[in-house]
Amino acid sequence: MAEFHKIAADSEVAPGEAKQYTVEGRPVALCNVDGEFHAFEDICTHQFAHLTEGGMEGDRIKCPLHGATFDVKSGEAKSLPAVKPVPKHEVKVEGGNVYVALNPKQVKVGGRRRRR
Amino acid sequence: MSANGVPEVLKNKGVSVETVKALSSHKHEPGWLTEKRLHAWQTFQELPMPTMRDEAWRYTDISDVNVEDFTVYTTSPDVTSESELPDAVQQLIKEGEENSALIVQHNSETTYTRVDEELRKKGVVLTDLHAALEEHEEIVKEHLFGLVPEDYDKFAALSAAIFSGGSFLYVPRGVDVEVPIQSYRWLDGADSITPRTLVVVEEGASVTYIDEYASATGEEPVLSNGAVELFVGEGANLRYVSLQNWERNVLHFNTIRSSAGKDSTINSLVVALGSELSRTNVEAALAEAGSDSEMLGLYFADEEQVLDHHTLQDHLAPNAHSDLLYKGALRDESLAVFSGLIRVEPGAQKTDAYQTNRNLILGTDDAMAVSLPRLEIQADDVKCSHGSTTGQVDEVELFYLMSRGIPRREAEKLVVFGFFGEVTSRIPLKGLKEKLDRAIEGKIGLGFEERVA
Amino acid sequence: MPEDRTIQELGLDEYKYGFSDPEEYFFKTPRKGVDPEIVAMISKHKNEPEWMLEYRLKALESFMEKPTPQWGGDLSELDFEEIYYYIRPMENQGRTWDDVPDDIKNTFEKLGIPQAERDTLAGVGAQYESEVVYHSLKEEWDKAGVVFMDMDSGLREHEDIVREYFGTIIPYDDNKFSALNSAVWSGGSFVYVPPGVHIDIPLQAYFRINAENMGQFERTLIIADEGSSVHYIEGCTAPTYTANSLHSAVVELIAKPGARIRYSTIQNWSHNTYNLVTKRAVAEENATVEWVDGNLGSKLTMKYPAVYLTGEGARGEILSVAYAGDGQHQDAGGKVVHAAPNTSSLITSKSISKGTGRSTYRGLLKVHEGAVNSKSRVECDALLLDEQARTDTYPYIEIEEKKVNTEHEATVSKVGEDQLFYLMSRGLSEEEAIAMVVNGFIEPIAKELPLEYAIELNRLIQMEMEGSVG
Repeated sequence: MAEFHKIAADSEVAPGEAKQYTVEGRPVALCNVDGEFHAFEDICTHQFAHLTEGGMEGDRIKCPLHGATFDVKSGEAKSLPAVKPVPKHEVKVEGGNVYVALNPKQVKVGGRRRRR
Repeated sequence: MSANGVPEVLKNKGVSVETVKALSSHKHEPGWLTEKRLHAWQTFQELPMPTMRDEAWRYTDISDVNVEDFTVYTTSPDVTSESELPDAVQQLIKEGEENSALIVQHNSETTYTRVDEELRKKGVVLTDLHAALEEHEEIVKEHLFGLVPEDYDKFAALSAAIFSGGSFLYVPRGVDVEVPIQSYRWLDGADSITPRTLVVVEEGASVTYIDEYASATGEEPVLSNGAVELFVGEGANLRYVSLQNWERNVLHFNTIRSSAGKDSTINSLVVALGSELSRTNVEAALAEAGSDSEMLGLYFADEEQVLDHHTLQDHLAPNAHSDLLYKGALRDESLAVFSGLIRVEPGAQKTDAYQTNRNLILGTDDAMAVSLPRLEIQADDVKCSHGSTTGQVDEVELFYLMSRGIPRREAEKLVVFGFFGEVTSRIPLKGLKEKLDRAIEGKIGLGFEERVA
Repeated sequence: MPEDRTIQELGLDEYKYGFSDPEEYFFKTPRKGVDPEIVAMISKHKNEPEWMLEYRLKALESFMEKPTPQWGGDLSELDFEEIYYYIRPMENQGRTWDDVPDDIKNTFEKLGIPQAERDTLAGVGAQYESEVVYHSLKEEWDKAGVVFMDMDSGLREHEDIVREYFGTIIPYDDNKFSALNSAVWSGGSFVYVPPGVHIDIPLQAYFRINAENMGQFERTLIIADEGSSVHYIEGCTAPTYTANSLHSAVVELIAKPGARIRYSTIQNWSHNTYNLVTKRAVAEENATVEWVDGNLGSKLTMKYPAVYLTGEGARGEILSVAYAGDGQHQDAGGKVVHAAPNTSSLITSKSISKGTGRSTYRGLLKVHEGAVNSKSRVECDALLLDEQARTDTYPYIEIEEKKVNTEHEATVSKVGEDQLFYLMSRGLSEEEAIAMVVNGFIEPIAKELPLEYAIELNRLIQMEMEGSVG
């Protein structure tokens, strides 16, 4: 079982917003879809870019580089040029804080050296 | 050199104008070099840190590398004989190639140098770069930064600003050095090393030079930032080997550039086995007519290693020949990047240039291989080609070996050895070959086939 | 020899016979440049649904935000403010074949271009026999449920299908030029082929009558439903005149399971044109997509047709031929993304650089994790005809799966002196010998084209080669 990390207060990310956090040296996107939190690896599966630098449209997040979209609930790629899902992390909200347990799966676009 | 008299500012993490000045004055450097270092430091500060948005760093993430986290200068004890060197270094020497001259850099300083009397008589110089600045200032001044100038890139700027130790090899006109010359860079306890290599081989001379990088096990990240400049005169021969086998806490950056004179030959071999992250630029300038450059590369990435090689075969003159072969194996979660360019400049007619990159993915499917074999041709009477393949261990080959009664695990090993054999068989250095074979065996020995099951 | 008049003499390099005089347009944006007002004007003129206007405006925003690419060709002289973004040509302008200048007629003759195409090219409007041909074909297609119309009509008559697929293969913000096209697109083709239907005769854009054809910002969407097949042919081999210096198309192809799409293009834009095109296809399970792409004209072409192999057993093939003459840069290639098991692909690129021409192959081969037993091969050959000519090869190969077999090879050569010597010893002139070597060089591409196109391609290159020895 992956370990849960407290990453934010539940008030930090407003509905319709996405923010990046660093957990175990990995970039994690935390999104709020109508009060529901979703977390996934914050790297586009097409080419290296942080999805949180793009924008949220409903339950979709869009890559700032080439417009690939992902379903933030499932992680699934919803439009080309991305075809692979972003790895979803487990999320729980307890006592006003959001906790994330990392998915061991990582996005492969190069540059995935684990930081110290 | 003892720790006495080392300016306080060099004992702190990070770099500033004061650090650069203190280092230069500590080494009693001439004014031109102090100026150069300061200018390089300014260049470093002006250049942005490369990101994955930069084409040359598209796959290699160094966003967390910060020079402020490292101490640039760490002393080490002088020794007067090989037997006083750290045991591990003595072991490396014992296992290495027979040599006619030897230089050891321990952390930031050169601690031991030996040149056989016969070579000394012929005028061959092998020395610490700082000593060379005192004893052979003119020739050093003429060549240093000539191939890896401070504005080459951010890391070259850092190298020029804060290099220490380093080695200088000079082989005078017509001198044939038969037995290889060996350099070791050894790290223990320091958190950075910035060595430079300057090799000047004059007309008709011939030599083999081996740069080897190794370290003691450590936990804290270490920054290794090298610059290698190889000047080869008319009709001269240089065989240059760079063997990087750092422990896994090291981040290795290195730029190796050579300039080949008329009818000269340079054979290079660049090996990447160790480190956490290794980025090496290997650039051969075929600067004069009839020059020849053989460029070999061997890498084996495992666990979460990132091994990144950028090569350039720069054909500036007609009738030159270059032949590149880089072969790499990958396993586990590793990433290997090969980006090679053959550039034929206008007027470089009758160029013959070849480039081959082959990757072998072993074990699990988590490894990633990137290959960017590129050509830029601006002359029409040329023969240029490149090839790139990526695949797994050939099942047919395996089946053949297993049908001869060889167990699968052994058979796989043989196939991997066969794969690298195409590179190692082209190196006429027995000790080095054995060293490489042992290293490859060590990497395979972790049992990649078991991870599949 | 009068037949040997060079391309310059025929005026094809300078286009002095501008067929499209500005006063003949019946709708044109009131000013150069693009802004929300212009985009709204285009959309209103076309009576588009609200969602398309919104889409165009979002795309415009993205176009404004995205920087001009710094890679590829030199775009520094491309001035977006100096372009009319929507010009609708006259319909039934009543010009006849007799109005066309003799020299142009001769060129068409020499190229052996079908009359129907000549008429369209000459701005005569497709009439005469072509109308008859088109109508009989159209009846057949209608019967089979095949939809083939211009994109504007597609949006009006098949809004649901268009809305479902439009921009899903190439999002408007994929790149600066797809964003521009998405903002100001006009014309192009909409094709839908129902399940199991095989269209034997290639669909050709010039069959469409009284509709916008080779627009500046054409937009094409082709959907081949399960088990169907279609061959679409875009453009034509004759030099295509455009008053504007920018052509930027977006082409999206969707091959459903078991379907097969072949898309052939031979483009020969005038030498003042920037041809910046985004083409991308999806091949689902056991589907096949083939791009056959020839680039001859333009000042700069940047075009890399892509195939995403998203279904098991899918296959993608890209054949690219480029000819870069004096002052031209053809930056072309192909991209294949293997995202499913047992997929296969082949990219073949042939380029010729003459004079100060520059041809670049730029390509991507990506094998995603899980795309086991994928096979891929890339072959690039470049032929250099002059000392000042230039060729580059920039492949990106990214492999995340070990059970794969990928190969990339490229060679660069000049026309061999031994080849020439042999041919000349057989009585050919040097010029003829070079032409023959060049024809042999592009043979693998030419044979994939319908016969008349292959012949045209060969003739066209021969014409470009004329006077190349000296």
